[in-house]
Amino acid sequence: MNSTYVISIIAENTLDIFQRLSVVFSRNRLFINQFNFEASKQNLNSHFYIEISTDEIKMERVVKQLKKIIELSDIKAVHKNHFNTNNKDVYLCQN
Amino acid sequence: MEKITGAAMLLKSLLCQKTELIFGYPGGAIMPIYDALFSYNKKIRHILTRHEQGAIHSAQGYSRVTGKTGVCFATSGPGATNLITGICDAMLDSTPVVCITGQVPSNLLGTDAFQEANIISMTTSITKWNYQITKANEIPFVIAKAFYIAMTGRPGPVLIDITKDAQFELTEYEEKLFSFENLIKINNSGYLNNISLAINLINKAKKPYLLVGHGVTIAKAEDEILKFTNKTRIPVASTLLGLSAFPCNHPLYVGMLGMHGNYGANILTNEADLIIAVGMRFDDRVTGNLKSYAKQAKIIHIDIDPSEINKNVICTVPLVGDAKEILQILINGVEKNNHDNWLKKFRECDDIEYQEVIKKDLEKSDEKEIKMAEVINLLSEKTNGKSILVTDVGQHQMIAARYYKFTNNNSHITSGGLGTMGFALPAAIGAKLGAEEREVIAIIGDGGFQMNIQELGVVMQENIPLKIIVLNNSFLGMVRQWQELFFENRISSTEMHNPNFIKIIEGYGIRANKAENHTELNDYLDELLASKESYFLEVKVIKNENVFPMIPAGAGVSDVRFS
Ligand SMILES: Cc1ncc(C[n+]2csc(CCOP(=O)(O)OP(=O)(O)O)c2C)c(N)n1
Repeated sequence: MNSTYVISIIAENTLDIFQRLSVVFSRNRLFINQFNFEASKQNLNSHFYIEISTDEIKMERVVKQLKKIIELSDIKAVHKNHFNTNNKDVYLCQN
Repeated sequence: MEKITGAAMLLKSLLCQKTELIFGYPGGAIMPIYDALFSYNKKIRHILTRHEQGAIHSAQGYSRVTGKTGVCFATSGPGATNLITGICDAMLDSTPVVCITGQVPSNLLGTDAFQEANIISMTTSITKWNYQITKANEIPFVIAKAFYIAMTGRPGPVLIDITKDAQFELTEYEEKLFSFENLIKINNSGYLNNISLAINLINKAKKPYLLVGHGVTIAKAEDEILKFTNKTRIPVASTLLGLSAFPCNHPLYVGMLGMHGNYGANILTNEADLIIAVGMRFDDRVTGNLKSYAKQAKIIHIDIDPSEINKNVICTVPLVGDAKEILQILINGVEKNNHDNWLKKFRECDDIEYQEVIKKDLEKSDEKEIKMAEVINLLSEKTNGKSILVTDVGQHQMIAARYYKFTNNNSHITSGGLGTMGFALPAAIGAKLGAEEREVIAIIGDGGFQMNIQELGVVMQENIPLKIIVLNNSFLGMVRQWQELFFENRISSTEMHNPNFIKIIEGYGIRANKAENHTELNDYLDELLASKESYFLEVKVIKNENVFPMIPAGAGVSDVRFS
């Protein structure tokens, strides 16, 4: 059964980071409902919030594939109902 | 401090990684690197391939036999795009290679400059990592990182694209050691919590079944697999890429899994009460239809790559980590056991397979006509299963996998995941250069041979004592088989009118013979094996033979066809 998930990702802010993330979604045929991006102050890190609708198995697979991206340093995926927008800042890096 | 060019810095960085051999092909955007190579030709051997696809497959073959990272060079644009098939092949078969491509000068990037291709974008989904260097001072760090990533955890390909201005740029160079700890997170203790669960399942199982994959060879865990099975007496099967990780003449070996695997090895998957899968990824060619795959069995899955766990088959106990380490712990924990009655079932299946398939494959029905199985069986006997076989893709690949009785570890090199025709000749060249003391024999179909036939130029120029056997059925045999079985025998564009191979080979100065009957086959195989130099043998085999057993695509592992 499909649910909506929010994936929060912290990664190095490299030139190719968008593409590295997007190939994982496209190869799994996942449409992106929402996409937010913020770079840290000195542009070293990037923080993405990506909202997708899918089933749990595909969700788990996509997260594992995303974890293989070398530039990625943290990833959390939560059911949209459990996503608290106030938590957003917790993930943001301070550099 | 002395300043050197980015190109020289690249070679110094490669030397730091103990690179001895590079396969490559020059061109405009990589010329500064080739120029620097001129000064390093005593320390690094460069093999000029005849096509960039040849370069990457050779690097793969070299890597697979040595366990080291293969290295290849290509120029920008078409040079880089010619690497793509090999990169994808290396990704699917977990082969560590570092590809260095030249790129147009950085001020021309994005302008559709001559031979500009966005190779970083093109290879993002088929590399473990890729990176474009535009400043020479990045080179030492990035190259060290590339080798670390290619080798660490589950190995794979990395591509580094270097702009021409960075290759020319003069910068201070100092040899440094870089540390990349935690760049690739391997949860080394992650499996510890699950070990006792796994041991319990193994000790209690009545019909346990061990599946050996490529990961066993990569982790160099062959001895551990032997010790584990000798203690537990669990029957062992192998995937295509797992072949040679376990000796085929071992009493517990029950054969190969998969579409053309052994009968018992496949159907008894659906009788086992416990499957222990080591370094294999439950590929669809192995599992067939997942809906009817091993539903009765508990599954212990040992793999270094967490993304393989529960990807295709949901497992009972995941053990994520290095197969060698995990097996060492398991060996100590499991009880001595035996499963003779269970093993007997495999042997009963062997009898059925012998009657239905093997007997027919091996019998000489005709004075002259040669079957593929006869060639491989004879070769296996004459070499005692000790050679390295590098196979291409198609019927000959499956027959080689079925009939060569590997007795030495790390002796089977083939393109498993991508199934790349044209792989074998260049990969065998790389394998022979990596294992000069061993007999390396390439087994290729007439179709695949013509996909990278130009690499014979490398065999000639470098005087490589490689043995090549082409099984010529004048068809794209495997596709013809599918047309016969699943497309009402509509033989559409699979018949090949071949050139005179012997003349072509002789043009390359390689000794060549053609076997057209059983006696010639026997004699020429002896000649081939006795030869200290390269030797080419074309064997004219039956045109329309089919490979059985076969599990049709999409069917379950129990739906084995014998005809
Ligand atoms: C590059 C590439 N193109 C197409 C295929 C599809 N394919 C798989 S097996 C095969 C036939 C191979 O013919 P041949 O090399 O003569 O070997 P045989 O099957 O006759 O032993 C083809 C075309 C492939 N695997 N790789």
